[in-house]
Amino acid sequence: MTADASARPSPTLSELPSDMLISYGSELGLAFESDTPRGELLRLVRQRQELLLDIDRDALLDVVVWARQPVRKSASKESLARQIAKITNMRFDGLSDRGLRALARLRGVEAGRGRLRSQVERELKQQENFSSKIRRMRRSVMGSLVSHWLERRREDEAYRFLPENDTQPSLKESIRSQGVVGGIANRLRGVADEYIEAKLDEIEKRIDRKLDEIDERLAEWRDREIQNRMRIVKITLITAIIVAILSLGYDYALSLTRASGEGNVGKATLAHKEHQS
Amino acid sequence: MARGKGAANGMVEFSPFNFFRFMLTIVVTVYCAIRLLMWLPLVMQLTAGNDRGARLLRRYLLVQALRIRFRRFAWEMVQIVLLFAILCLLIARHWL
Repeated sequence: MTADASARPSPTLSELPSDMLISYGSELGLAFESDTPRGELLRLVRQRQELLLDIDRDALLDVVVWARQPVRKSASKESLARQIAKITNMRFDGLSDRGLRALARLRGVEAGRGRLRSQVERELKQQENFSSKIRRMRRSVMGSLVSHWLERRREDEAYRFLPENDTQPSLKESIRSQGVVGGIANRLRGVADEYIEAKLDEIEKRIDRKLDEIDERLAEWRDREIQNRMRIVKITLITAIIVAILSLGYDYALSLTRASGEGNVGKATLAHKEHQS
Repeated sequence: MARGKGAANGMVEFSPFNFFRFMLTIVVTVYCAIRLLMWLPLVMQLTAGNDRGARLLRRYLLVQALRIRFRRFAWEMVQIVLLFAILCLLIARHWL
């Protein structure tokens, strides 16, 4: 088993406030009731950490690769579990047996060696509630429609892990392979590259933030425009209703006048006939 | 068109509601037609191209349309439906 420092139960876990504990547990894929007592929260989180220690890291990597979640190959079990908690895919084609077993254990489904793959898959699918199923199906249909419209047919590329941060060889190795000057120059170049990379990342983040702000403002403007249009429709309908009511009143008054007019004519005719006789 | 129920007797009666409805239909139709004729060529011109900008704009518009949260407008939509139902009832009452 890989020695994974981050997956080891933290000594300060018991000192965490309940909300942090809930958020930490949810990140690891646990679902809590709102009124779960603190002791129970602690027990469940520790149980999850122990389960992570027990599960093979390669099995977790299989799950992440199958779901195409972005991770580094050297990612800890906890960060793999965090990515796995986000997975909603229920088509298990392409997932290895050990990956399926790991996924099932993380979702609380019994997945011993003796159990059939189809049985485990069925139980995993049964765990999904109705609204999640509907949401997943709606997103799947929408995704296939939109991707068909925008990208036509595009074959899925092979999964690639995120690049590692510490891929640079040590100074000793650089000097051994390139000499003192070459090695130090290479290291300096590396440091300069890292600095530029960090600065570029910073600029990129700033641009992203600005773009998000613009996007948010555009979305607000779009919503406001829709609301204005709806208000215009409402005002038109209300005006039409008021005029319709007035018109009904007008028709009613007209019919009353007509009836009283006809009554008067009838009375006059009767009086005329009586007079003649 | 602006005749009331007495029109069958050969007597022309002025009905304000029918007149209003007729005027509203004309005004709304003309307004919609003008807005559409002004808007459609502009949108087609902006999005019909095959360059990167037009492609991005197409995607962006689609994403914006997909991101509309109908729950946000649910109450107003309910109000519109109710008002429309009331109007239909009133129109039906006029034909009785």
